[in-house]
Amino acid sequence: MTKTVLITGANRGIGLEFARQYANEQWQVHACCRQPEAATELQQALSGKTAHMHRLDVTRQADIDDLRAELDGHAIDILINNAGIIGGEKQSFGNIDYEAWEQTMRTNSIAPYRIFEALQSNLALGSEKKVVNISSRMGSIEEYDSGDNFIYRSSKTALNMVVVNLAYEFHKSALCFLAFHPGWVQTDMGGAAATLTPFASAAALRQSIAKATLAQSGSFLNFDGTPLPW
Amino acid sequence: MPTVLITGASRGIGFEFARQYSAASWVVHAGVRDLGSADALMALKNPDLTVHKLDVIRHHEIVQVAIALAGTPIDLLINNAGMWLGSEEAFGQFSDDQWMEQFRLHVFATMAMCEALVDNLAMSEHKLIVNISSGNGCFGIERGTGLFPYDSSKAALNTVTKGLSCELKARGITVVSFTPGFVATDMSGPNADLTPEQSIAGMRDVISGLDLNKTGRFIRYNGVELPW
Repeated sequence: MTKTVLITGANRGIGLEFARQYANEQWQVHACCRQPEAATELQQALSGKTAHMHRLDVTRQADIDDLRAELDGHAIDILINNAGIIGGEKQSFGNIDYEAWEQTMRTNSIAPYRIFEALQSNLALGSEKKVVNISSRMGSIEEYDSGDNFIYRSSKTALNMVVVNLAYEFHKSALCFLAFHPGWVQTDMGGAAATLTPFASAAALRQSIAKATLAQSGSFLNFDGTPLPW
Repeated sequence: MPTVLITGASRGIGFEFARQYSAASWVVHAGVRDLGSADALMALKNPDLTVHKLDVIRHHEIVQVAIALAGTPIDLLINNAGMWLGSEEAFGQFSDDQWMEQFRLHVFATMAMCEALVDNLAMSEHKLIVNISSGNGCFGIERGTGLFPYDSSKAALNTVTKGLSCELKARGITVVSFTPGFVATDMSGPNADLTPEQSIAGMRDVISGLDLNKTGRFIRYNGVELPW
């Protein structure tokens, strides 16, 4: 039976690559981004595939409500909360942009929760029952050994705590929540010096997602599936 | 005598810090959101206690305090002001704004206080920043029902503690997160298992032994270290 994946931030980077790879493997893909009409690469990747594009600014509850209504009664096997922002240039001590910090918390920490909240009944209908959250090892407190990127790092730590709380909350429903570090990826966010292509990152992540079991719910994993410290 | 600045000092843990440091003859700067709630602080009759109007989510009030204290060494900054909504923070119960309020109070305000007062800390003898976090912000412990805004904001606060500890080491400033234990206050309700006297006495004891060797740690009120 065809499986279904929903991906946020699917217009570029890792999200685009997820959409392309799942579609190529005959999954049904729900690809979400802020401006589907401008997402030409995504349109090309999904052309001729079993795919739907959805307008979704993950920080807009009205968009999330629309998505919920559109998908009412449809099974989703895997939700990939991928949309994220880096939080701007001003995130060092003495030079913090607090408005950017708010926006980053809304996008990186709160939105994944809201999207799951809206789609929980769809996930209950699915067979995989996995909620994948693209976090970052920059959110690891243990590994934080400099004073840089306060905004981005704290937003990913907060996301990790959301994942842990959801895992406890929904363990009895057999839903599996994972926080993944995607590697250092050549995207707009990762820059050109990064070590992984989006293709390689998404391919490794898809393998690790497929292998993950309910016993791992609430874990923080590297793209290759190995555990990371909090 | 050393100088301490405490946020959220009108009641609960913050008040008890003000009371005990007053009893120990410290110079106390007590930040309170509402000057009308400072009666108990005034009743301490510490001639070296100053009450400041300080709602830490209002940046201009932080700036006002920093201006008032310009040139004054602060040995110990206790970022204590906090809140929680209890069962309203369970899955599906709260708004984005309620969540953001906790990020503002627990995370952004802590950073803003440190940014505003870093020079006062650097010129002091002890150079200590204590952030009142919570076991709820700890990944490495068994959890009950998640309080999503509270737990995530305290975890993010711990990230700020760790980052600040790295950033401020060169200036000799020690930064730690504390979990005060489950203390009987207005916030925690009647089921708590520690009195404010016990928790704060424990933390003061630990604080008196802090130095740069212990910066960036997450410590219980009794000195036991916690994993992140």
